[in-house]
Amino acid sequence: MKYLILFLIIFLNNSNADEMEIRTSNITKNLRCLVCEGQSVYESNSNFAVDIKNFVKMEISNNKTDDEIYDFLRKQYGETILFNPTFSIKNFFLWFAPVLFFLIGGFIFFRRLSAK
Amino acid sequence: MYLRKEYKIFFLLVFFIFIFIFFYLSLFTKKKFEPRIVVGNEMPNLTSSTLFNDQNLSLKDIVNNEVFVVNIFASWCAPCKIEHPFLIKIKNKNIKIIGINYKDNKQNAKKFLKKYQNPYQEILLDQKGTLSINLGAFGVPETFVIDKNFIIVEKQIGPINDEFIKKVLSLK
Repeated sequence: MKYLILFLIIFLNNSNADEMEIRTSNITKNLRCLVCEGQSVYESNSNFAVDIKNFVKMEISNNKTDDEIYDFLRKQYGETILFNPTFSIKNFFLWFAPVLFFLIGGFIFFRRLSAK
Repeated sequence: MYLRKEYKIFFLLVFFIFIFIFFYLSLFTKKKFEPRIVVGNEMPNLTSSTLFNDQNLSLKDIVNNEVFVVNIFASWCAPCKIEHPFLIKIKNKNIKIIGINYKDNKQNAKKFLKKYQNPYQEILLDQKGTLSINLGAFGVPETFVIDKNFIIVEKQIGPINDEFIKKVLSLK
C-alpha cells in the first residue's frame, strides 16, 4: 500500500510536470524571440528567451490560460512578439488579403474562361 | 474595361516592380524592439525579496505617490557601470531609484554597489528574469520612470545619460 501511494505521488507529479513542459513549449513556439534573428522563444537560448520561458512556466503554475499569457506579453512587447497576428481592425487586410486576391483571381479566371 | 495588350503588360510590369521594391526595401528595415510600448501602461506592483535583508517587498511598500525610477542592473553587465554615475546624480536630486538585480550573484551585486556606491532606495532580486518580463524589458540595463499615478512615463533601453536625467527632473 505504501509503495502504491508513493508510485501514485511520483506518477501524478511527473504527469503535471510533463503537462507544464508541453504547454510551455506550445506557447513559446508561438512567440518570437525579439532579440534574435528569425527564431522562436522555444528555439532560442538567449537571456530574453530563457526569461520568457521562465515567465510562461510561472504563469502556468499560477493557473493562467494560454490566452491570458499571450495577451499579457502582447501588451508588454507589442504584436511583434506573436507569430500569429491577432484578429483586429488593424490587421484586417493581413487576414483577408489572401481571400480577396483568391476571389479576384477566380473572378478574372472564370470571366476569361466564359469569354472563350 | 478591356485594355489594350500593351497597357496590360505595362500595368503588370509596374505592379511587379512595385512589389519588388516593397519587398527589397523591407529587407533593410532595422528590427524594432518597440521600446515605448509599455509607456503609458500602469506599472506592475512588482514583489520580490530584497538584496540586503531578504525581506519580501512590493514597489508600493517602497514608494508612495511620487515620481520614481526603476533600474534593471547586474554586476556582470558592463553598460551598467557606464550608467552608474548618472544613477547617483538622480539619487542626489532626491528621486527614489528602485533597483532590480537581474540574474546576479548576491555577493557580486553587493561588491559592485560597495565599489561604485549604492544609488538605490531598495533592490528587488530577479533571479529568474520574470520581474523583468513583467516590466516588458529586453535585458540589462533598462530604466523606467514612473509618475505619481503609478504610470510608466519613460523608458530607456541601454545606459541612461544627462538627457534622461533632464526628463526625469521635468516630471518631478
